[in-house]
Amino acid sequence: MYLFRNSTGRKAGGPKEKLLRIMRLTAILLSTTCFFANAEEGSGQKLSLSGRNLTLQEVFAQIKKNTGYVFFYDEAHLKKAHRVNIDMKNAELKDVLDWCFRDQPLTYSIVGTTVVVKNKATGEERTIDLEHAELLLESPPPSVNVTGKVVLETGAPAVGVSVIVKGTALGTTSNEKGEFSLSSIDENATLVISGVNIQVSEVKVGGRNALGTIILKIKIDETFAEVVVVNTGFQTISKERITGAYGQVNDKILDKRPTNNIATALNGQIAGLVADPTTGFIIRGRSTLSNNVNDRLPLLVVDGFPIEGGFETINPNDVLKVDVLKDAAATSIYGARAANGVIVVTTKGMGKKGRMNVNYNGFVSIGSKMDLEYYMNMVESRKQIELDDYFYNTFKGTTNIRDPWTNTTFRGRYGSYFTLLAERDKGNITQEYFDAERTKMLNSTYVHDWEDYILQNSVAQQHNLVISGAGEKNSYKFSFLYDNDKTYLQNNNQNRYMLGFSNIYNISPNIRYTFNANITMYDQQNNAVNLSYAKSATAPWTRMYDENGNYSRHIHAYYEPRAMEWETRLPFSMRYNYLEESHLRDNRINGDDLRLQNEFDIKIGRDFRIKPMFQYEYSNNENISIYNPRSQAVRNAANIIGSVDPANSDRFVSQLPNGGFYRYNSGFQRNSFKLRLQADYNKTIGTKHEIAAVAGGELISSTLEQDAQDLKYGYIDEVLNYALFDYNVNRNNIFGENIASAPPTYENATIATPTSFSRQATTYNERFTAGYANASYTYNRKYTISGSLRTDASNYISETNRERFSPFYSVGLRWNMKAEKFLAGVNWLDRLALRATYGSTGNAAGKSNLLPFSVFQTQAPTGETGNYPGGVVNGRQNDLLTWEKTYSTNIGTDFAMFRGKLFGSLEFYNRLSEDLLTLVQTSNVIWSTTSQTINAAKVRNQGFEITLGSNINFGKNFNWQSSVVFDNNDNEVLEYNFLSTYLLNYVGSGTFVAGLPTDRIIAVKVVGTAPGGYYIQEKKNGELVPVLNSSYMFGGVNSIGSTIPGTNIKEDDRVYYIGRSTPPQTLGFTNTFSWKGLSLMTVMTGRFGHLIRRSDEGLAFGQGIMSYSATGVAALMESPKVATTETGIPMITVQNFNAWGTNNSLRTFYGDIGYEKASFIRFNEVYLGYDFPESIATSTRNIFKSATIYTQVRNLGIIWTNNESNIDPEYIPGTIKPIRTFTFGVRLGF
Amino acid sequence: MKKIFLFATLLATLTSCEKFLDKNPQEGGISKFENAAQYDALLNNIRITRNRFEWSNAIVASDDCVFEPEWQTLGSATSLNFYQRYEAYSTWNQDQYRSQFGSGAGAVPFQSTYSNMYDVNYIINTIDDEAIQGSPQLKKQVKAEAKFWRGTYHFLLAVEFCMHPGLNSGNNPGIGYRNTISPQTTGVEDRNTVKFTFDNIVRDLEEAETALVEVGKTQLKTNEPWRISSPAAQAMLARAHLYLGNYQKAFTFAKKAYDAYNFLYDLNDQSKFALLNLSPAQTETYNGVTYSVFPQYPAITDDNSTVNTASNSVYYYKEAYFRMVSQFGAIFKMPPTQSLYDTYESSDLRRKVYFNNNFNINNASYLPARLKDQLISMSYAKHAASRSQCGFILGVTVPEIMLIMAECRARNAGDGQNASVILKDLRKKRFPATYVDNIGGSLDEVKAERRRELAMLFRWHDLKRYNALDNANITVTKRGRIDPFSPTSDIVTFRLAPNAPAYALPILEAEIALLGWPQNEYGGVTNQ
Repeated sequence: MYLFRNSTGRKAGGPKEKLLRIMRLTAILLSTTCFFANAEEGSGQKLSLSGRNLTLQEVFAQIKKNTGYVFFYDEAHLKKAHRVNIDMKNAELKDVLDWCFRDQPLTYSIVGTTVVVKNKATGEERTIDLEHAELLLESPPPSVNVTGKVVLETGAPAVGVSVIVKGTALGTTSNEKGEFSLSSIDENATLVISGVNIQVSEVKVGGRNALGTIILKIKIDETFAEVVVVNTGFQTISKERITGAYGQVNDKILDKRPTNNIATALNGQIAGLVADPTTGFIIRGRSTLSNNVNDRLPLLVVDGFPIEGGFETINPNDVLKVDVLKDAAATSIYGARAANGVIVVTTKGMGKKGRMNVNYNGFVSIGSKMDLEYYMNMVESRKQIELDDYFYNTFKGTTNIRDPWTNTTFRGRYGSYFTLLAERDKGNITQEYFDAERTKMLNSTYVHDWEDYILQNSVAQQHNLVISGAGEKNSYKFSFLYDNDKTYLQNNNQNRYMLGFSNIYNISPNIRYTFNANITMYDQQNNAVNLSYAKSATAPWTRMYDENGNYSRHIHAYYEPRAMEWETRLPFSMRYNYLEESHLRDNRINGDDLRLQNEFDIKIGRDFRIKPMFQYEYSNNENISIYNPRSQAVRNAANIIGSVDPANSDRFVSQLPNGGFYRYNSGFQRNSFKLRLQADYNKTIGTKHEIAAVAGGELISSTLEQDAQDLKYGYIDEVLNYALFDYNVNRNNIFGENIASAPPTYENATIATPTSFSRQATTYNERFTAGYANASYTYNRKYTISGSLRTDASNYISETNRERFSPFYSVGLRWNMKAEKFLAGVNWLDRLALRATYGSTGNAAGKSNLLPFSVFQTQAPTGETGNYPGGVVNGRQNDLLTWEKTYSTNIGTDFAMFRGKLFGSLEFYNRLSEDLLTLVQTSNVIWSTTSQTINAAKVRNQGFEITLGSNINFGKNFNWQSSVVFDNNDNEVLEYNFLSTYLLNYVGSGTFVAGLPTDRIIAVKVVGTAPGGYYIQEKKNGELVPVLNSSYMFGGVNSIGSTIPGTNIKEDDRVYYIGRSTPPQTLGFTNTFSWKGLSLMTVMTGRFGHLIRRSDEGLAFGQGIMSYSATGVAALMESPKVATTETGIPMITVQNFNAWGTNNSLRTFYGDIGYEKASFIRFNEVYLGYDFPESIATSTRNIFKSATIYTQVRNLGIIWTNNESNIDPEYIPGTIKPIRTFTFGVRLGF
Repeated sequence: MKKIFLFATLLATLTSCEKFLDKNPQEGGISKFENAAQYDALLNNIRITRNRFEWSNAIVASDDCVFEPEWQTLGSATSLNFYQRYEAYSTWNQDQYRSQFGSGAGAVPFQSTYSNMYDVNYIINTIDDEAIQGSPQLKKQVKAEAKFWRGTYHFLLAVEFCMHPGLNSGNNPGIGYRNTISPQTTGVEDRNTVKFTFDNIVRDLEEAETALVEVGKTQLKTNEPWRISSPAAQAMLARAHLYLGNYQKAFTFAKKAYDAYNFLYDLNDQSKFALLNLSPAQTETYNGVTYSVFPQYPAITDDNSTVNTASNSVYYYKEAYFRMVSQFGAIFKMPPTQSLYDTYESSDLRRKVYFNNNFNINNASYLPARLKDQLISMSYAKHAASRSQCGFILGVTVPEIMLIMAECRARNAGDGQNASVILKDLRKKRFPATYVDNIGGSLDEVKAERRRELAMLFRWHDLKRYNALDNANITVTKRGRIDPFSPTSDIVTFRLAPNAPAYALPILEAEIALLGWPQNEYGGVTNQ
């Protein structure tokens, strides 16, 4: 293993400097932590109390002060108690109380953070809130004693229900029979009856003594149905008052989906949120035409701030819940960046006053080995040789199979059996030798060498420690995460460290300061074999080591026998072995991400708050490759960039300096600041009017510096230095070609372009200012109206436009129907609400390529203008440039029925995206150019989403909760006016077409084969034409060429719209079964209604490649899908060669037969966990407060698919199927 | 309340921070315009070379140039299409114009002209911003030069695509005068009138001239031929006023220009036109002297050591007040008509140096006898930048200015003598001494001399004004096939009537479609 020691130390962000920076950051964090830890110690979880002759009231007051626990008692009872002496240090509350109640006529019980004091003999208790004692003194003279009984709707007595005299602190609780009594209360008093899981009700005493039986309604358990509060990032709104569409995943689900990236855990949980492993999330369909994936991502908000880093900078264990805001009412407050939806992450809260909480959460995931055969998708030796024989004999002497010895410009590689054939024909080997080698090949397979030398069981582990607590004025949380992933490939290793610190400090009763810091550091060593290249260099008989234990020679860029001949004249060996190569390079990526958030919450008066907020983010990433001088990458370049040795004309010497290569592949640094000033207004007037409003302004500045590639030759690792090399000299390679046009290749890539050297960074600056307001009003808890307004300006919307009022707005309505009288009698219905919203949001898509104003670009002097410095106006000022806008309508309903057993929501949406940036043909007179990216296209997304949940108890201990999310999205490009001149640009998923979805697939219809081995294409007019030439396949005849006569591709005679490439429907199905402490969760997801292209059916053949895919061979010879006029699909011949597509397969050209149905349902994961009961947890010598052990299996496979070949449509043969992993973990609370 | 007020103030400050938004979104290789030097550099990049198609249609359409149908047989497979197309242009074939101006290469006159138009409009519209650093003097000069170019670009477009402003009181469609940088435009949508276009052209040029005089840019520097001085602006004004028939003004500006700069090459000076190993086919012997084609490899860069490569020589052609070159490949060299060639006396050195032997006639045995005439084998090659390039100088030259002065004199009754003096001054450099005085000062004589001196380049422009202003009633006739793309179709004679609508060439179809402009009606071409 070739170890990386250090970088050159010359670059900013080199390891040394980075280490220093990390140390500095850590020091800052640690010092802050220590400060708050000290503050916490003075009021620790343990209680210290001493004193003599103390009344119980005095003791209670001390305890309350130290722990926050409050006491409920009847003063009459306390009068009977005797005084106590106490001297306890760092004692548990329970111990203190036990001591104080020892020998007293009283006893106590702890309910939550309340200590209820009872009469020992009778169990009678009288609760008086200590804090309201003064009210008691002022209450009017008692006049009546009342008794009553409370029962639930089911008839069962309601035990432990609190009965309070409204407006006073007087009250009691019901006993085991549901009975209660209150003495000496105002005869006109109203009793407020409340308790866990029951709805609050009020009863007027009205002078009565006996109130009789009072029936209480059971409150629906909504904890699973929906969390009561939705966080929009700007404010939290109670569910009962929200008008917009949102989805939520809380820690109950997240805890059961251990992951290193929270994004993974959202999959299948929220209707309308489609996760794609490569492009990230899409919410409610594609609403921009930008090809930049980043422009399509939803805005990610963490604890109120949009962040620049991704999900990977969020500690998955620290997430309390994730709210996905889907419609305009929810997102328009984010204005210009919200059209793709908003994902709001809320991290877990701080510690509570009392003892310090320590939580540990860790897991280990072990993966099964990669499905090698599926990935290789390789035919057996016999078939390979059979096909090689056929192709060699068919194409021998044509340009496809040239004689590598006589074609001096030809350096392409031949497969090993092809090489054997060519060498035999050349007479370089005897027939006997050939036969012997052929037999060896036929009878050997070494593919499983891969299992020994390349693959491994992946092992990922994660450890997370959270310490939280609270002091007198502050509460805090400190978290540390480490995860390590040794992937399914040997020599890969990825580490990530995250440090988090949060603190809330109450500066004064009205001023609160919140500080969050989050540091992520990661490093990855990606030194595994380059799988795809190795695959292309592997035949069944390819081995890793030869008989003598040396690396065997693998096919590289050259015809091997010639490479071996050159070698005798070159300074270095030409050998290549992909395993050896993987050991001689060091690919590493490392970086870090820092996020600091500050928020002040200043209370002014009763209803008004001002919140100045500030966030700073820093991100750094660098991607470096170091090639050992012994690596083939270096040897090959040094050999090829060679010249004839002046001392010995038979030999070449290298023009490159000695040493390895150091390549800075890419990197970036990003600094961003966000400043927000917000005012919150919340007021409840009487009992019927509720108002919530926010208004504020934002400043955002983000600077991204992207570095270009940089290559150093002659890198010597031991001294961390490289050699100087004159890049401006024109150099030829040993073949006499200029190396600028023929640079040496390396595993299908170019190692360098050595003639030019420049490292220019490009800096992107993004600046926004925005003003926003949002308000909602609820009347009588029935009707809510909401509205929001925001205006954005940025430095890439043009100078004149920024002054224009460009508002994003929303209005919303909500009607809680269940609260109406006409539904009051419908007992099975617990909740019914209707919602409707309309509004607009913006999207900053495509901005990276656009400038709002013209800029100056220096031009090199030309002969025409002597040596005068020149310049041009770069770009054309577009003062019409504006935000992409999406207008959304959402109509939704929320419901719950059968006492919370069934609940859910239904949403219908229509999203019209306008002013989408797209390249259009422009007038030279107006724009001075023939095409320009302007706001011109229009896309519509329509759809519906269903979320259904159930929560059913079977008996006392068994509970089943399930959630189904389903969504349907119809997508259509309404306007798009750039018409390509080439039909080919439309086929597959090329140029957008008005009237078709953004992800349309356009193909030629293939209906059979004709004599000679040509496919027959059917035109819309019914005409059948053979595809004689791959370049002209769409014309069906050679003469038509590729230009489109008409403009509307939908009406073109030759091509058909056949479907969509992304699923219009998605499904998520999650079930949780729990029995006592055991819980079992299953997650299934489905995608429906789209197509996949079977690129695996290509047959790689010819001089360059040497292995045949099993699918391709089967497609070719065994299972033709097209109704044929002859039998089977004919073999490729010299005559029909041109009709085969670029992938050398009729199966993969753009015919409809290349596509297959791709709907599926997948069993994603199953989780089994056990929460130890409190009794066991606490009995373990008070070590754990809580303990959970769990196991999880992920990627269980496909349950159903409509794919006719019965493959996994997301992972076609030849790709890496997701590895099944087994996870074991614990969650411990101390 | 105070706190709320404070909050509101803070908020207002936050969201109305203009400077904050002035940050350049992208840095690295590009920069915002900040100083006048950048604007000045833009003018250094105003390309002297125009793309090949620009102006070529106007040359081919005139009666100075014809692609005889028999020329098609000279073409190789690749050049055949070229000959066919140019035969079509030569005979004002509307379909061919439509096809050329539909898209692709035909878009070039619009693309390159309007691309530069943007740069000059950018200068004019933004250089006076307070944020732009630089001396008022430099700003004024740069802006004046930009105005000059704006007027000149519009002039070239208006001559090619509009009817002469002397017709229909100038109410025929103009070219949509472009003077802003914003894509939000008013005034260009309907082309406005040709009078409107020319009024603006003249105003731009006059403002440029005034400003250049004020900043002292009155000396023409031949080693900066792409930069504009007041003589260049005066020369361009003289050309424009002549085209408009404002002879008094034309003379005034021409005189100013001539007084400031009046360099002429002497074709008698062999040292300037010495041969460089040219093949006999590319030379012509006259009076015992062998001439090359002018100025293929001329030694005219004698006072400019910095640029002395053959391919650049045309840019430094010193007779021009400013160099603007419409460049073509060798194959684009234009064959002259008999009527043009016949206007040259045998002693006229221009006949020797402005024309090039294009083919070796002796080997072209397949040509009909009539076309074996040396004349037809010639092509106009004045200002060729090199043996393989032909670059027409669209900038105003000293001979053009002399001819403007002569014409204005000749049009002024009784001033013929003065016209004659000017013509003789010119002819001194164009003829051996003994033939110089062989000319008078009548308007016809001036026009004939003008055609000889400015052959090809300004004939189309002159035909338009002679017909429109002088009622010259010139009908142009050309030979060509009814279908130039069918070698078997009949050869006929095409006629272009005086002041025919076809004098305004069709505008790029894509522009018409995108802008909703009225297309030129075209017409007035007949054949028999």
